[in-house]
Amino acid sequence: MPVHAITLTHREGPESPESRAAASVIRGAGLMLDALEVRTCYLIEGDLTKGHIDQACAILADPVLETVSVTQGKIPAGADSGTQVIVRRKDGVMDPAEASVIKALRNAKIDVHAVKRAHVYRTTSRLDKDAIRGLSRALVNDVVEELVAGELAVTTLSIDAPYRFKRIEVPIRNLDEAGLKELNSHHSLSMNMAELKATQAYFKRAGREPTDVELEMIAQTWSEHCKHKTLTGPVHYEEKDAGADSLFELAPAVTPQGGKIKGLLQSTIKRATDELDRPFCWSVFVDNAGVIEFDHEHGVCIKVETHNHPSAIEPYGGSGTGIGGVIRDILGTGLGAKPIMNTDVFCVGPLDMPRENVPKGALHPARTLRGVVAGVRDYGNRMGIPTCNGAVYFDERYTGNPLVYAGCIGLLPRGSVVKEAQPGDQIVVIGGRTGRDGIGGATFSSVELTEESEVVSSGAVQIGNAIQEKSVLDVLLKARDENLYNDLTDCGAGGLSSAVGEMGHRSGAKVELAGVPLKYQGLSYREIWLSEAQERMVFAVPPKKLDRFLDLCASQDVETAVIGSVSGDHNMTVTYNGEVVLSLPMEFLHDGLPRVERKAQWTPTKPRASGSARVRSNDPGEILRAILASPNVCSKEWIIRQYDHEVQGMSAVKPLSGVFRDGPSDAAASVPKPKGDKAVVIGCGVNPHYSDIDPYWMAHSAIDEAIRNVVCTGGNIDHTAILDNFSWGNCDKPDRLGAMVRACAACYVAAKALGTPFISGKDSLNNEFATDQGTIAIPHTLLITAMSVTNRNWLTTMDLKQPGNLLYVVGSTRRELGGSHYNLVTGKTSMDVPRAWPQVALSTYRAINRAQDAGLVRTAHDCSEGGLAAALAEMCFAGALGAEVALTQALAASPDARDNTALLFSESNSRIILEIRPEHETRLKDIFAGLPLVSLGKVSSSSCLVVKGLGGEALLNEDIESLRETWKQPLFRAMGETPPAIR
Amino acid sequence: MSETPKVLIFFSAGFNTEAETKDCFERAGAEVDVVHINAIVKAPEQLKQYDILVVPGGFSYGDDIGSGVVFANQLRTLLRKQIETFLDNGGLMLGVCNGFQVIMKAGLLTSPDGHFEERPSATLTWNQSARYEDRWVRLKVTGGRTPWLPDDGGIECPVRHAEGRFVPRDAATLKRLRDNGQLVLHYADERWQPATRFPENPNGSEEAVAGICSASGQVLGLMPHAECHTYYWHHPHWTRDNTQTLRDTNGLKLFQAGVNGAKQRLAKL
Repeated sequence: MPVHAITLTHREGPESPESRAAASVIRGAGLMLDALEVRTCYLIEGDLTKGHIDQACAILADPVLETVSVTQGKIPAGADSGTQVIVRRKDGVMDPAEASVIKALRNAKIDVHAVKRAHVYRTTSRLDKDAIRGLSRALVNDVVEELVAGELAVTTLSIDAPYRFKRIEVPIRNLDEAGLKELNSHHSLSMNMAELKATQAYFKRAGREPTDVELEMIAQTWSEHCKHKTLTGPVHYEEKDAGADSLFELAPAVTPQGGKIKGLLQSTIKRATDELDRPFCWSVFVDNAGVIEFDHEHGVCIKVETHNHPSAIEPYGGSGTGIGGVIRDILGTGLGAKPIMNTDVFCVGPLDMPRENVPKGALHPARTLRGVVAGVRDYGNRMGIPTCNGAVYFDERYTGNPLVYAGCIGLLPRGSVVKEAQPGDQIVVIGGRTGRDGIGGATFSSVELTEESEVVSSGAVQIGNAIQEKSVLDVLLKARDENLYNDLTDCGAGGLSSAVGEMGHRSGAKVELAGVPLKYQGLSYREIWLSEAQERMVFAVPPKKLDRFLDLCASQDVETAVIGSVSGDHNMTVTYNGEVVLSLPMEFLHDGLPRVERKAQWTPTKPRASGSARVRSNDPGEILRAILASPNVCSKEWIIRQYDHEVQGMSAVKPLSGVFRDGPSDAAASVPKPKGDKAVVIGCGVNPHYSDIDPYWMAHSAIDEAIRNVVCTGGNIDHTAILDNFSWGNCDKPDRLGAMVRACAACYVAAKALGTPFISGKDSLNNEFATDQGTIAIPHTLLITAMSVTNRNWLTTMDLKQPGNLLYVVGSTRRELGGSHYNLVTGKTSMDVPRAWPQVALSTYRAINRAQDAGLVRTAHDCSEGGLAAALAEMCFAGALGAEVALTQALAASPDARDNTALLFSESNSRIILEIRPEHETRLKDIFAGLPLVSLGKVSSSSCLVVKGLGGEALLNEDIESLRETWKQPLFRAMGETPPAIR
Repeated sequence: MSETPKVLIFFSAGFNTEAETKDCFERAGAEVDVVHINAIVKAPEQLKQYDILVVPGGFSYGDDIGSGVVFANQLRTLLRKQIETFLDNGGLMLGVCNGFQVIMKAGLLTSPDGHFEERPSATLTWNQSARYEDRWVRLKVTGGRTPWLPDDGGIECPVRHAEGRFVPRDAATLKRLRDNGQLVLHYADERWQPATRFPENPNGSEEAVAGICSASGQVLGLMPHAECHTYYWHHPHWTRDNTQTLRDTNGLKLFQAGVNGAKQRLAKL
């Protein structure tokens, strides 16, 4: 069928916002172009009349701003005097715009066969081949897009191909170890020798050879991604030179038998939850997400996922499908929860990294960050879920292997927490169609990245279609409320294989693949079974409710297909047009994985000095400004405002607070039932630099920080649950695993002492990047997310409120500068990483809750990166008020902290700065009797933060507007922009 | 005795503020149904039961081509007669954010007769910043023309959009709308005067236009999310103070004005 190219030209030409934005990206990549203009072109295939084409133009072009040109079979080259390049997504790569255009045209009774979108970049500059290559690097990700210079001829958009069924067997029974290894790499199974042998033994017993999908389903079900072998398997921990920080001293309960640990997760994280046995925990570690009580009618659930490896290769698609995936986790929690908040945390390389220092095969950190932010923005915003909490952390070791954490919080009725598929239930897949997207994602995420990953793994990358998932969300919640199904699971890594395998794991399932709706023809049974195409959910629907379920989906344009049934024979059976292509007992799939004991070792090492030290002087003001401008601390407004953080009308504490709405909130609070008086508070903690000294104290600090953030904002310490997300290096290497053991042990100790159970978690291992010069492992990174259910009237923000009010700090300050931002900006190193005293912390947090309940707390702010000095600065500029503070001996909890530097910049845990009205001083002191509470000074109406040292000398006298600018500008500047003026 | 006005909120793939919008109309005293476009198209005569039609915010059909265009065309091709009759009979209509984009692109705001228009004379397009932003703004109200708004005063609430820049076809169009009193909401600076600069004018709208009404005043469209400042704790400053200012700039008054307008019409029928 003919292809018509409809090209839209904007009346503002190079001055249109799209053109200017593209020019800015290209400039950022070091290319200067004159009069760059971006045009959008829709390639439309179909037998269309002139009338149809005119009508299509009227629909696609803005009547005020755009003019249209139509050509046949090609996008013509531009004028001779300049350069034109055309960028489009590769065949088969999702572009949600195409479905929108088809919808719009078919509504208008224009029968189109297929649509593809392209962007045409024209400049008056004449570019040679090298310059075009540079332009391509700036604009195009080769994994999903292609660039054509000049004219683009298009004769068809169809990518359908015929498929002839052939059942493929893979001989395994007679292979020796070398043969098994060869098989492992040929099929990208990522299995170890014990697993290969267990698989071989199974098929010897079965007396037959496996099919290709049987092998791949076993590999996938047993993958690190799905089974978490490292955290659930046995470990032998040893340490050397640990001194006072010996794990046998710090956490004797975790290491009772000389370092032999049966299962790390079971003996640390889950154990804390079991032993705490908090009644507010409704469902923990058994479902997609943990569920805790919200009120007597509803629970709140939370899940945080990583999507690191896909985001390394294609940041936009990787982070978008990361958020899309975790939203489906929440949709699939219990019988379905309504997503009410999203979170995101990114760890990337330094934005100012010189291009020549970027390892081959990796993207520049600025490009990675721009991509992952856009991915979360475009997916989360379209889903109508506010993205309201997060963090960004920078370290050069993240460059080749950035981290993308995406979280989602949901609300579900008490009666919907438990689900169970019943034999006879029909298995129905709904939502997106299946294509060749992301095949092998589960096994891909379980291996380390190399500079080749970009080439070999492009199949593992997907781009999402949020509106498809939004429609699934809409019908899912209606179907839940009509009680139309017994079970549901999301299609994530592993696709149908994983989803149906999970749904049928107690009773067995039979699936026929020929009826699965496809995006295009030509997929083999293997591709259909393993595809990780997005936006699909699988339901177990009782036969008598099937018609209503299918009608409900159809009424909101959600496609469905009945693909099988829950069987009761405890076997996974898959057919293609009736021919059996997979038949495996559920028991072997889920419990046949052999367990290997792994070695874990720990020897303390001195951290390396930061390469990014900026300050040589000892002037506290200069050090404070350097900390405020440092990438981890500086304002993330450039990111935050790109996210809708208040859709659904529940937002009570937003990510930015204060007079000019630009101060850094400690946590976000939402009121999921606006007519009620309860709130959910979400905060996080992440301290990868502490890992370089000791992952034990890193983990303890991350937990304390997440909880502190939540408590500052009004969270109730006695109704708080936490989540762990480990991103680690290759744990087959004993030092990486040794670090993991220490972090897990701290998780047990801290959670137990603070009374905050872990309710869910996820680990991502093998975060290493192989280069010619060796392997770069990321810093051991543990993200802790805390969720608290609290009273709305306890909520507070971090901006100073009223001159004359008093400032107090709760908690003890020690000389703890190891891994601190003071060390980072001054280039110093030291081993004195922040420690924790969780029993005191618990009493302190409870006292803060009592003060919040009594209405005494006007402002509370967490002391973390940059210590007391940075926290005070943030409170001042957020409130547009000054402060007069005097450091006193009373602040120091240890003799070595009786020092201005330590008092200003130590990152000691469990400290919070409070602002109270003068008349409440006595009541506050009563509440904190016996706890560390020290007066700092008062809020002033001046525009200065004034801090006097221990000897009464002037340490800081900083103009708060200048501090604000110092803190506010760096990220905007790094992304090539100017921050907006305030007011 | 006045009857309770009935509100219909259109729903379809990608809309996402229907729940909080429903809450606002209910608190303002109306009965509210959220109905999928497919169900309306099946039985379009049901529109007659309603006094107010609302197109909520979100990303209808993904907004991947011009925002709101696909849904606007659905209304135009599938429900044109019913909606025009509804308006001819004095019904009220509201579009917020994506809903504003929809009714703007359907021509319902700029056409001289209040009906659909094939080529509307104004549009909403990409923010000058070329990206999506969530940011609180001040809205200066110049009502009078429309039952949806008081005669003056202000509202504070967030904008959350990528394509909210108001651009008229030409100076004559702008003059016509201005002279007609249709430019009823303006982004305002700290002195509550129309804002020319970013970020007070968050998208670069001409004449700082944040919302306009139809020639008759029955139809109102606005980019900012008035429904997102209807509880005192929505306001970013609620932890700072609870003074009258915060209450004065609450967005619920818009929904109350609309419902009152519908009540007055019902009383006259």
